[in-house]
Amino acid sequence: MNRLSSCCLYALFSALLLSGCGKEGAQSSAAAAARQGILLFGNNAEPQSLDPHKATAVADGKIISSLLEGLVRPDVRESGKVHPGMAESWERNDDATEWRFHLREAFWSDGKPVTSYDFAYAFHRLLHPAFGGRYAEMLYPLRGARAYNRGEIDWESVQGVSTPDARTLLLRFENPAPHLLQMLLHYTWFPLPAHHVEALGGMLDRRSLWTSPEKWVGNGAYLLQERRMNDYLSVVPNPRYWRAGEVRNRGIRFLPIVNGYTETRMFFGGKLHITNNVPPEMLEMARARAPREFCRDPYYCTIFYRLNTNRKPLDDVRVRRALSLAIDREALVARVVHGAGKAAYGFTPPTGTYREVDRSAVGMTQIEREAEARRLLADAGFPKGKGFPTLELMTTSRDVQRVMGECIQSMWSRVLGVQVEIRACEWTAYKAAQQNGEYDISSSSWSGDYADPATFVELWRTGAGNNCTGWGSNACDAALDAANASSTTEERMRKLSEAEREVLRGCPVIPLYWSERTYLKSSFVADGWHPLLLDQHPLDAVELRQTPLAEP
Amino acid sequence: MKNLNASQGCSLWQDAVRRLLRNRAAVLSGIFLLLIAAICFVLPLFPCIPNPNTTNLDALAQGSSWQHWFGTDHLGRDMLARVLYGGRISLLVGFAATTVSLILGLFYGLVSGYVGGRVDSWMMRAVDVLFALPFIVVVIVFSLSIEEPCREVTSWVVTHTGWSRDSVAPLMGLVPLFLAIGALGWLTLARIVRTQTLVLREQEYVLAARSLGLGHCTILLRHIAPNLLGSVIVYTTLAVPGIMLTESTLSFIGLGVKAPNSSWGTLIKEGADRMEVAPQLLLYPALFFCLTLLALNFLGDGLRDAMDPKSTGD
Repeated sequence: MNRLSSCCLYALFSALLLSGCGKEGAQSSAAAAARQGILLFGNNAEPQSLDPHKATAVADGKIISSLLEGLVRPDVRESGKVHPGMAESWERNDDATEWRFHLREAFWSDGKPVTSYDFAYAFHRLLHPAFGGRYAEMLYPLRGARAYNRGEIDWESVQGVSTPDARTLLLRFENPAPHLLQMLLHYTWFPLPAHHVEALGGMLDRRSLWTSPEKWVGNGAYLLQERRMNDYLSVVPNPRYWRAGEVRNRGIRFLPIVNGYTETRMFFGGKLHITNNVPPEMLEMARARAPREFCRDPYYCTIFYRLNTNRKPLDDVRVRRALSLAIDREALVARVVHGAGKAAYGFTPPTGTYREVDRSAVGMTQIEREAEARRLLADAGFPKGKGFPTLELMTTSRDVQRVMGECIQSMWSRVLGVQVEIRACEWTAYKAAQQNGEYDISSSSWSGDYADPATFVELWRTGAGNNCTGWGSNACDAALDAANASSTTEERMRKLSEAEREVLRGCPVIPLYWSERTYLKSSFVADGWHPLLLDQHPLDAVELRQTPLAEP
Repeated sequence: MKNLNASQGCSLWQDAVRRLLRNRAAVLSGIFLLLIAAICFVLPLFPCIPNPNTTNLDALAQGSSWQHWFGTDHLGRDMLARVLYGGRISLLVGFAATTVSLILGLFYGLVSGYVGGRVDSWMMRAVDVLFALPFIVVVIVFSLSIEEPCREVTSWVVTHTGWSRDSVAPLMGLVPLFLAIGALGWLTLARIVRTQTLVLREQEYVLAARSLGLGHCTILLRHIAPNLLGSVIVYTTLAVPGIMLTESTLSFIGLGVKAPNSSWGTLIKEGADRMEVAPQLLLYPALFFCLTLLALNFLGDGLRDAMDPKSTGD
């Protein structure tokens, strides 16, 4: 290599960085796309799967929700509110254990009608013990669903789902399900084109190609158009969608940009309309540079570390508590997250009447907490970290997570004398390692699937698909069951917080902070995007204007 | 070179050194490289350089000051210390990986060229096959697959020698990297050495050595290898920057050194992400990296001119 070419290479690197990942120059710029009515949407990560029964990531959910529609659809302005979707109307009995949905006349994109059988088929598939759906517990409230999923009974004896006729869906629940309508917004409750999935390999074929762009059949506002790995995924309006006339834009491009710095830079370079995330260090800069475009919304989300309780020495609750207490969360939030969140001493973000926190940790100052952590670690047989094996902290390749990891790594080393190594994994590898329990400590986040604390607490049920820590406690499971069985909201909340206290006592996770959503929204976005606690934005409502607003 | 005694004559090496010293850019580059190596390896031994991994959340991304000459990074770590320790790793990877490839390439090329015939063709076809593999991809796969054994070696070293993990782990963590880069970087060198050997083995002095009854090994090592050194040195100097670039590429995509340790590649990546907010995080490591690469390239060019009497025309 001669001197020139090494210089050139470096120049190329900087040029690539400056321009982000945009390849098509002027054509993909925000202005041109806005003129065509196409929304450019920063979507955080390459989707793992577009099959609603295989996906678990937030990025996947956003795409799936634009491609398929469930019984109800979300409101543009309010997280708790729903509108009729595939279901035209519904009625419930008094204690909310039986819901009857009347489906509207709607069609799949291949012209076949959407029937109640499609819903039953989807539920059957997700719950099928041989399919191994990671999110199956979302359907556990259905009567008999859990037993079926565990292989104890067969599908015929599951009473939770029945289809009196093609346009009626009857759902029966083990326990009262007053918040069912919000749960229905989650893609695990969406229907599947049964005829199509059957034709392409059948219900249990996990490698079925029905989610590929050429074969896609859906009932949502959009159709899958093109997918380029690590480049973009584009969707176009579905002409057979029942509200086809009300779709406000002419397509969406989901860009899987993991690096928040790149994404923010791309936004300022005019390549995106809505970004996923502004990284902490850029908050000040973004706010100063684009005060009207910078958004900071409340978000129902917890950032935490999972501890693999199947591995030594993390099987010892004293070690887990010591690791948790040694973290100075206030400093973390103030300095590393730059204030875009709130230090968490409990797992579920506080909302309304529900605010459960680790009471034993709250009253103390950080110095007391650190002393307590050292004491616990010494009790567990590792005074000053002597003899403590080097653990591995697994993070995704997101820079924020890595920086947070380095910060906590040095806190643990300083306070406890415990050494951890950081392994940054690419998203799919990270997800796989986490679900197979091949990690020591995993840097994780969880955002609520519906506006209810249960979406957080239910995670820690013994053996739940997204538990992944190997932890479980009978007391916690019992409290969760009791919460589901309770008839009043106060009772439910009390039981849920009892379950969460159990989790915090067992400490299979280290809650770090409750995050906020910080992102940028271009002035090309005219309407249809408002702050939502659950971030379930109906993208079909987003309206673009041809020219950006003039500077005031 | 006035004091050179004409009656003694001068060897080819002395000629080369004389030509090199006349090349001002190469001399300056050489001095600069020695300086960089000295400050990266010697300066951190003094207590004025803080631990590069000590975070200080009260002093984030600060500019230059008397306490922190290069400012601090996004976790309040001293930038000067990080650049120096990062330089250690980058230089070490550059030279260690080059040494690995030098040893492999030299012996492979010597044997292939000297033995000749069918052995030579087979050995060269093997090189062709390896050349056809995408370098970066193979390095990634290779370094990932020897990562686990290396980690076991690290913990073995730590438990059996009693050295602190802090000093062993950063270096041992690099072994997969320079083994991987070195193990695939020798191909060009093997070809160069082979061609040179093909020429040299037909020379009269080799014939003389053979007729005197010297063994093959002696001929290879005493008579052929020394005469190859010129081109090998030139190639090596020019290969180091390439290998340092590969290391920084791997670190840039997250496969190089493990956090919180740094190399120039990781520092540049971290700096590039934050360049609007804290430009010094990009500026200093990039400056060091660029200057080192340039110096290595100038020195390599100078050496090539010096070793090859035809190219200078003197």
